Amino acid sequence: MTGITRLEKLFKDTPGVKLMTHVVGGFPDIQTSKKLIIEMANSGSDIIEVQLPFSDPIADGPVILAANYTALKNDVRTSDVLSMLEEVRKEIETPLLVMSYMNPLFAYGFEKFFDKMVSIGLDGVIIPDSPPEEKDDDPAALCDERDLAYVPLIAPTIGDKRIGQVAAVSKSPFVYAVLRLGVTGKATNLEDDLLDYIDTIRKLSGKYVAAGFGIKDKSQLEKLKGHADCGVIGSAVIRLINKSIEEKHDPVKAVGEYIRELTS
Amino acid sequence: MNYKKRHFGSYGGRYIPEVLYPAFEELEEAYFRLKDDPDFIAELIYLQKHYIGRPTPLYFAENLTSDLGGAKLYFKMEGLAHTGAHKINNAVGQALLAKKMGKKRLIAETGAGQHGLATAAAAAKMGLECDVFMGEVDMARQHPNVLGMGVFGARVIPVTDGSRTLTDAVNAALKNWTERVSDTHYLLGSALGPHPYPAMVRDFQSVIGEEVKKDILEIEGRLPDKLIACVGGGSNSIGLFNTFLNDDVELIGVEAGGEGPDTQKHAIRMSGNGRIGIVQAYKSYFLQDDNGSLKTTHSISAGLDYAGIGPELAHLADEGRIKFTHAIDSEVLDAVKMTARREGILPALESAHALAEAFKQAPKLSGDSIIVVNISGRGDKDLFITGPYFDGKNWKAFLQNEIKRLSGETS
Repeated sequence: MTGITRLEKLFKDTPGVKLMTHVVGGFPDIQTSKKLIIEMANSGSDIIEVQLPFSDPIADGPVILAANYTALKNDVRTSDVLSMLEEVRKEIETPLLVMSYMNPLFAYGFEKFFDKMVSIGLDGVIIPDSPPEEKDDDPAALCDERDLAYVPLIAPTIGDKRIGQVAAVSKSPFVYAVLRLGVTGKATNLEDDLLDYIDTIRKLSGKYVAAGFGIKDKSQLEKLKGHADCGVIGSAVIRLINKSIEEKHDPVKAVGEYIRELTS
Repeated sequence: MNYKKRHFGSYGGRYIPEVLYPAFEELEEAYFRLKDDPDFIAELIYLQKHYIGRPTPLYFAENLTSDLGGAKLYFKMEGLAHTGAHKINNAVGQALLAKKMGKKRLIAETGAGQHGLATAAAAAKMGLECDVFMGEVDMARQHPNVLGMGVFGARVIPVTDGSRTLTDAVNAALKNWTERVSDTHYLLGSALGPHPYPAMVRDFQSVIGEEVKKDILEIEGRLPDKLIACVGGGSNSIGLFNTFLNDDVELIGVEAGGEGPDTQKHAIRMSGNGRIGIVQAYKSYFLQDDNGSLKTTHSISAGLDYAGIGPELAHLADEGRIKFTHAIDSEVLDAVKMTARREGILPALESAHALAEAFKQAPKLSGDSIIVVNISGRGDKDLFITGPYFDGKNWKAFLQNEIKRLSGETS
């Protein structure tokens, strides 16, 4: 069981706010990113998104951008990340998403890439620069055909009408709500209006909602209860990895402890 | 009017993160409403005439024409526009648009600093706040423009991400816009990026070609045989070519050959190994690796040192309407020298790429053919790059003396 089916089952069967964590493939190096994913799964992450390193990640903040840059300097290729995920999939059952900008997928070939994802047993994609208007390279349709979840991104700046349109672009059981203006990695106050906004998305999309951008601690995750179905943690993990490396600690162990703390 | 048309063939588009959706809708609506508004047009024409100094001359390069012994060479003198390059045409146009939209602040990306300088000047003129994003590496090598922007009252914000050059400055400006869309207009500097920028920048730059057409008909009584322009992102070239797209005129774009097409140090996209991609929210040709990441580029002229190209130019190249070629750094420096020596005109290094190509072509053509070259900017800004080449020993001594003088003053 993979793809849309696996994710649907996760949201249906697991109670409470689930946790999605983020890794840049090849950061800090390809082997450590593999260990991080497995450790995340074993520590309680319900979904893991793995980003393909790219030179121009226009929706990411400085922390994730720097991680992309490190991976590229290590000469990590799209095929390296896929091989790593192939190995990971043999060890864990946790849903795995690929987060990528359009161009790494375009360069690889959308169909070829999605076929590869299916053959490895990966579950879906998040593409931040793929608005529904651009139909030339229609990754949403290509994912639907393959039972892969094409997870739409929804921002607080867009109106109600568009929320419905964006959510309906694919058969993904959930959408990804961007909780604040701007880019990943700055603190979010989960004010009431943001929670209202999550409720609105849930109502208008008729889908499960993962809420992300700026979440870092357990209290923030708890506030999502009754509103979002999943909290997403991105930059906070990369900051922790950077700090561990700086202090000469094992980043894998530190990330495991952090996630256990969040999910305890 | 079909302003929802956001592609040129299969290029262009608007591959933006969803947070930017309302900002782009607002900009698109405002631009296509105001561009044909008589008051807006009248104000723009006033500014073009009295602030920018338009029309810029179409100059017959008599000495070079006679030296080369072929086609008649005409230069479109965009370097005589205010702030020294064609960049001001777009900066003033968009600044006026921003003001009409009720925006209080302009942001811009800049590589060499020319677009930043033009934006800073336009912001000062219009009474708008201005923040310019510039890669740290570019700031270090283009300090005179950093200084200039500051004098105009703009804040230059160093970009420390990635390769710390133009491409990172574009990303930083886009991100900043996502955080502050309500009072801010992003004044993008070239005919690229997500829709409506390629169309809008082309429209604001088309005054170049319109003036050329009028003047050449007046002087020669006919259209030129060839138009030649340098191509970085493509704003001066599309500005020159746009009016001639349906005419029987050959259009030639010259890319930065850097240290040569066989090295890794160039910015040859169309006449080399550029491949189609979707980067920085538009689809076009990019210099990229197998994984879709942009390659670092090189050119002696910072203004052409960019991995992407405007989507309309990509489309026109596919259609065979524009031919692309390149000039390498050494040819460019020779072209600067020749133009300065024989015509008393100091072209920008960017523009000298177009001149280098014109000098190759002119001798092969008969004396009754006409070439128009766009001198998109003047070369004063390049003194720190050309100084060591033209007069290395004295230039170094001058800089050393300056440092001594300044140390004496401050110690």
